[in-house]
Amino acid sequence: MIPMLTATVDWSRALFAMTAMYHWLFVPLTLGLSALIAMMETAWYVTGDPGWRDTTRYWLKLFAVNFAIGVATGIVLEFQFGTNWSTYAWMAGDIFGAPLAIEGLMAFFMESTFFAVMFFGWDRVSRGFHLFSTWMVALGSNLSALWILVANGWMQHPVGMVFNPDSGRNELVDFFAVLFNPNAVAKFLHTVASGYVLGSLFVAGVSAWFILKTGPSLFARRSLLVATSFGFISSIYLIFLGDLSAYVVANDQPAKLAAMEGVYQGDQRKGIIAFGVLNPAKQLGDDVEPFLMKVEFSYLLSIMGFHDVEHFVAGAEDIVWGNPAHGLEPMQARIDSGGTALAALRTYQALGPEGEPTERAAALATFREHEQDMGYGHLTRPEQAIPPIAITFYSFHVMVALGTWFLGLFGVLTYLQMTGDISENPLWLKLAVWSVPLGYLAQETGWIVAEVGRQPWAIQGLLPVSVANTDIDAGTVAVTFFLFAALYTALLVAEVGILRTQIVHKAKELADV
Amino acid sequence: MRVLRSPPGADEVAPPTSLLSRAVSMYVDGFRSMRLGRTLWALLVLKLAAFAVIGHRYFPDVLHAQFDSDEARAEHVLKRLSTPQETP
Repeated sequence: MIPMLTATVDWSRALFAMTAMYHWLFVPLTLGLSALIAMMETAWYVTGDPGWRDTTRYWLKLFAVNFAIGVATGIVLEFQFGTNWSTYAWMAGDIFGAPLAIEGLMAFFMESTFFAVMFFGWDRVSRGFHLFSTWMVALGSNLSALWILVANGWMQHPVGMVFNPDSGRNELVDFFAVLFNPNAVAKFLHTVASGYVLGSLFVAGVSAWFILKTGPSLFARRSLLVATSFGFISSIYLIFLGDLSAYVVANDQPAKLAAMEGVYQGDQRKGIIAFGVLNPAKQLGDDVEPFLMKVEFSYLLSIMGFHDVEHFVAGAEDIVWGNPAHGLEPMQARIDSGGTALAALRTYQALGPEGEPTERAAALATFREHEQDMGYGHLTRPEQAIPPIAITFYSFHVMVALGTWFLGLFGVLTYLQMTGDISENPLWLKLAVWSVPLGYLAQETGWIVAEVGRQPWAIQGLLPVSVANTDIDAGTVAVTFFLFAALYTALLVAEVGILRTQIVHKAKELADV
Repeated sequence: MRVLRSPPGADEVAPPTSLLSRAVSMYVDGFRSMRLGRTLWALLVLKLAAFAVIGHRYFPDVLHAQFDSDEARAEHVLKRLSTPQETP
């Protein structure tokens, strides 16, 4: 049953989730295709074979479609900060200002110069400069993603700032701590690598379709080989980065890790669930078994999360009610500490600049002592600190299963191409075609893990979404939800339609040859 | 007598040679020769226009619209931050 959204915060979350998910249909393909195109053009530069040039130009055309339709879809997310998430925007604006400004400037300069050379510069600039421009577009796209993911990493693990109790802002004090925040580094590398995998799946899927429809043309075989080789390497890289992400999450966001793995009661030598069906009747604190069925690999969660087989992995119930044997305080202690921080902040504000200096200093000292828990002061029950377990668990496992499938798919396709005629293996070609939408599914589930898994926080530990949200009319937010749902759906239909036309046109061209 | 003649094509406009001229020419010719690109630009313009209209109509900067100064905005945010809210 779909729950009725009535509160402003729910509509605001739905709007942000919907627009972010649509935005993320376009971005990873840009990241992956730009890198693949640069590789294909490098092959042309090195070999001088005009076939590579034609191959590059064809994929550049599809890149242009995706880029033109996807560009600026992220602006809508920024609209929402000032309107729907004004407390958050005010509190985090000083941190986000620098990365987002760098991203905007970089995107503008890269796109107005190197993009133009990449699209218009054929036969007008030297081959070397054209190749350089193509690589710069690929690099620029990746760096653009860097700044956005640095901002997101800060929300998951806020560092490098100090909260100003006079302005209500988090002020940036260490830019490099924000830039090299382990959460941001892991997120950037994992996200960009996932874009490479999606780009490879797209090129492999379309090339496989060409082979199935028009035979093994040189164009299609070359494209397929580049895509599957790059996809295979990227998938291995992605799995290693997944391990890094698990380590970072285990240390910074234990409640998210518990939800990802459906861990209710923690343990040492904790295993990972390779496959499992959660028991929908399970509630925190009851005696019901969490899983209806599961396939578990022993020890691996302790090893991946903490690089120590003996390490205790906290479950959701340990986080909520504490586990003295493993040094875990009950959540209520953090809620009380957060309440003390909020009370001290209220006292500090009430005294004002003209207030009694000693009392004001005492209030500020109390606030500083407890400010790391200030967000917890808004929780009324310890269970609220746990993210939705089912959606996080299933999204995580779908993402991991698909990532494993892509590694196998790329590996087999690369092997088949290097040892024989790929057109004699229509089953694997069909699997490549059908894996393109699965690539998008993996992208979206990855972001669901990242964002649903950090609930209830807008900024981890400091600001719950219910406070980050602006108290505006829920009906207005609902209207914008449906407006953007319609607009983004139209954009997606346009993208698919134009891409389909270009692909069908190319198939006819290949068939005629 | 040696007849001085202009070389063939000398009366035509010389092709642009400076870096700036070549860059401008690349953009102009590039935009002129677009086919698929025209559709994409049309979609881009339509999209940006829709974003601008919806953004202007539905996405005011709430704190700037409701308060005149940063001090007033800070006071509002601090009050919200320090007053326990209902967390769903």
